[in-house]
Amino acid sequence: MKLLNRRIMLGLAVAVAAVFTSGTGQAAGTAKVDAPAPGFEGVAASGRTISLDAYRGKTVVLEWTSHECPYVRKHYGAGNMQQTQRDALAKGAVWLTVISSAPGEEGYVEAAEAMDIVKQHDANPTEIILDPKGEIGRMYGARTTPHMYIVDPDGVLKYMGGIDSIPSARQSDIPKATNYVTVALNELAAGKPVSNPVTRAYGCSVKYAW
Amino acid sequence: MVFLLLALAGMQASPAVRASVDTVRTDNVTARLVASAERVKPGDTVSVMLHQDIRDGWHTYWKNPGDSGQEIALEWSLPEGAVATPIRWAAPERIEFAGLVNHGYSGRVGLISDITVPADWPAGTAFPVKAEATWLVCEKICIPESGVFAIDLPTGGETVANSADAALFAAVRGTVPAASPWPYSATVSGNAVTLAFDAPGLSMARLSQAHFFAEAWGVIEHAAAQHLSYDAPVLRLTMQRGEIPAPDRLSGVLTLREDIGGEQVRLAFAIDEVALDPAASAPSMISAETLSLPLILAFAFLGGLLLNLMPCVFPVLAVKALGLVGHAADSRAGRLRGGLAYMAGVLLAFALLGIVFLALRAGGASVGWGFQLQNPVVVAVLAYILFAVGLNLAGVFHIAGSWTGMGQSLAGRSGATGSFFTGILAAVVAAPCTAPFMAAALGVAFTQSGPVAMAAILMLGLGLGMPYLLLTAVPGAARLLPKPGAWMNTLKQVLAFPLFASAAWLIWVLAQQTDPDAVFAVLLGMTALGFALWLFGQGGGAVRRGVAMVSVAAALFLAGAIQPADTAVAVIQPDGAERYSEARLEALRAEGRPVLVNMTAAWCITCKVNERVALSSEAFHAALAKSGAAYLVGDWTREDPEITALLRRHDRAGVPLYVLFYPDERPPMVLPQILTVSMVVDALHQI
Repeated sequence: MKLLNRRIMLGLAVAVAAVFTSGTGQAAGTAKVDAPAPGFEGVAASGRTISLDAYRGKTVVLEWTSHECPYVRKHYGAGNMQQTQRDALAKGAVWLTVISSAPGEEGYVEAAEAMDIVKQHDANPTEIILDPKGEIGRMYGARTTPHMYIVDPDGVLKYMGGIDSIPSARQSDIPKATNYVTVALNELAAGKPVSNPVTRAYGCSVKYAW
Repeated sequence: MVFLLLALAGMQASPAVRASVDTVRTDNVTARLVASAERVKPGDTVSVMLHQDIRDGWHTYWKNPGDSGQEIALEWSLPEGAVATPIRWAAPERIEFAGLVNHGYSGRVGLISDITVPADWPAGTAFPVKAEATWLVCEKICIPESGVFAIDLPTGGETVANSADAALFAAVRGTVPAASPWPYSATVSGNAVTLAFDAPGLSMARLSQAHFFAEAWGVIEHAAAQHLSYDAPVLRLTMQRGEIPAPDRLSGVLTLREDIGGEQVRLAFAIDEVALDPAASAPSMISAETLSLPLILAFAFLGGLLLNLMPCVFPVLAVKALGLVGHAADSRAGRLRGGLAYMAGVLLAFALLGIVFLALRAGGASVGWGFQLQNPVVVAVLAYILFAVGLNLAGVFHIAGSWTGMGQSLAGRSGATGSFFTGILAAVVAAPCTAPFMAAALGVAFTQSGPVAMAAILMLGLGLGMPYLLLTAVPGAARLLPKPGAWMNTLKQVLAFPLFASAAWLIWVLAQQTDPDAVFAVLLGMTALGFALWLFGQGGGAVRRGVAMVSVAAALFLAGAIQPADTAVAVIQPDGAERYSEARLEALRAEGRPVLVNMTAAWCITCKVNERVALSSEAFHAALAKSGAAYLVGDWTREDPEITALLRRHDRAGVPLYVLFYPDERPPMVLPQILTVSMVVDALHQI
């Protein structure tokens, strides 16, 4: 009897715990730090269909880009974006480059051109996601190129903002700036909280479809 | 060309200016560095301006460029001992582009700094002012540009103003924001940042296009609409919060257009370093300012007391009291232990709820009271629990019969453990009921700091647990209860039925959150659970127990597999009502229509009662039609951030909420939580 009662109580306790620990659904809309990153599916330049969920278990870096934007050119021209990417990949992270420019707007490219640009840059993103309708961009509230996001292996957004701390188009500022993405990745790898989880993204505006 | 001429004129007037570059022309901007004096006496201060003449259709950026872009940067190189003051920025414009909003300048802009020439500077020697400016100039595409400027300021015994550029300086100074004529304060509440000005005697009809430009990035959402309202003497501008997790100060520029004698004049006021208080400030009948901490706690306690009378909690308490009747003869210490254990159970459950709530809030989720019921799995498990307790009361698994003689079942047990779990159960089933008093107290408390919110939640628990604790603690109280007898068993069985009814109601809630498949799964699960409990009641061997456990596992599996429906299946939509959305509310208000908003949820009993009693009456529909008010109903049965945001703005953490928006500038009226026909009709007549 005692045993049984204890079992029922355990069951009740589990049920009570379930009642109290089940959270609410993820609020739709703009991405928020420390909340589940909005899930998406997109077509990559490689032709594959990419879903964020498929990378569960890995850290994912999202990079919004537009190759004609001077701020993007600053970081690619100096090799800084590629270096940030190499650091991330070396830590086992996945790097998704997202292009949300609408057709006819600055930075819009078809798959083949996107691959060419990446090759010219000597970059090595895991996938280049083409988002000409801006659906993924709007979901994340991506406003600038570059605009950077980091999703942890549990699918939780841990960083959103700029690539670094000095908003300028000058390459000479890069060595003086703090690279927020590399710092955040290092902190996450060390199991520490991200010290600057939300920073100002700077650059050109994302050229969304109207 | 004009600038070239001016430059030439300057050179003629002051031959000391040599080999200097004061004008830089790029494809899109003609930039010039110009001083307010043509000769300076050492020790005097001179203003130096970077003036930009920007190509039509293009723009450069303010100190907070907004969603993208980059502020104009100016780096001075001055002789030792001289410093330039920070730039006095001209008030920016709002530049919209494809859903993004930037802050910047088009046409012409001048940015002024003051430079003091050191007193020991040798008079007669030119004072060199050098600056490097970088700016981003954009139309649809953006081009970073820069210029290196150098001017040599002649020095001498007397400062001589630069009369050629005096008009330019005067015009540019007029674009710099003035000090606010009204005292101001700022608050942050949930997702809203509100600037309030003490501004008596305004005429709203003459004001338009109010916009606040925050100086720091991320404090407010740049692209979100800002709402100006006037509730004499307070002028309020409500904005949406930006991405920065916990902003504590607000600086920036308020711009307004005022109709002065038929002419639109643009005003710009500097808002400087005002503390952002975490308080609710939306206009409502019970506003945060009127609820002090002791009052919040007192209301929470009263709300908890009232919860005992709610249909979901009452049977639990009644059974508990019944248990006390049977054990009236027990030692006082034993009874008190039971009462304290019950209270501990209640408080622990509320504390856990509070922790989860605060964690979700810290994570940025917008949640409110009753949030746990927005998850169908939780609703299903709760239905199971109520069903199981009901079966127990009905005698289906009176374990006592065939097992040892000691056990009554769980909720009926007299021991401290039983009391503890009954306390948890009471808290669990109380959650859907938002009692009056509680609404205001929790609503305010939930917008406050963690400790205040937690204190309010615990006070609520204290109120809920208090009646039973008093019953056990006050000497003689137990003796007031009727004598034990056979009636107790009958009453206990009768009390099973309110619990079954509650379980049925939860299934109904579930039906609106999910789909028929899920309802079927949960009903099957309840059958399995009933079967398991009946087997337990039969007592006996390992096989029976094994089957029973499998049955329970099956029930839990069925509940756990429920998925919320992808689309709204059955949104609560009474006759003549439209579905609530922020956009719809704004649109109706923009049309100048009064709007009655009803925030409800399938699991909210008070809401259902109000809808039955007041909001479906003919008198209500007649008054609604006569007033011309639109009726918007928001269904919070499942999580909906827009509804949570509206609740927040009215200092509420949960439903029901009834708000009447007037067609004019009067602040909206919040109706009471428990409605009568006459209250609603009267309110509608006041439109």
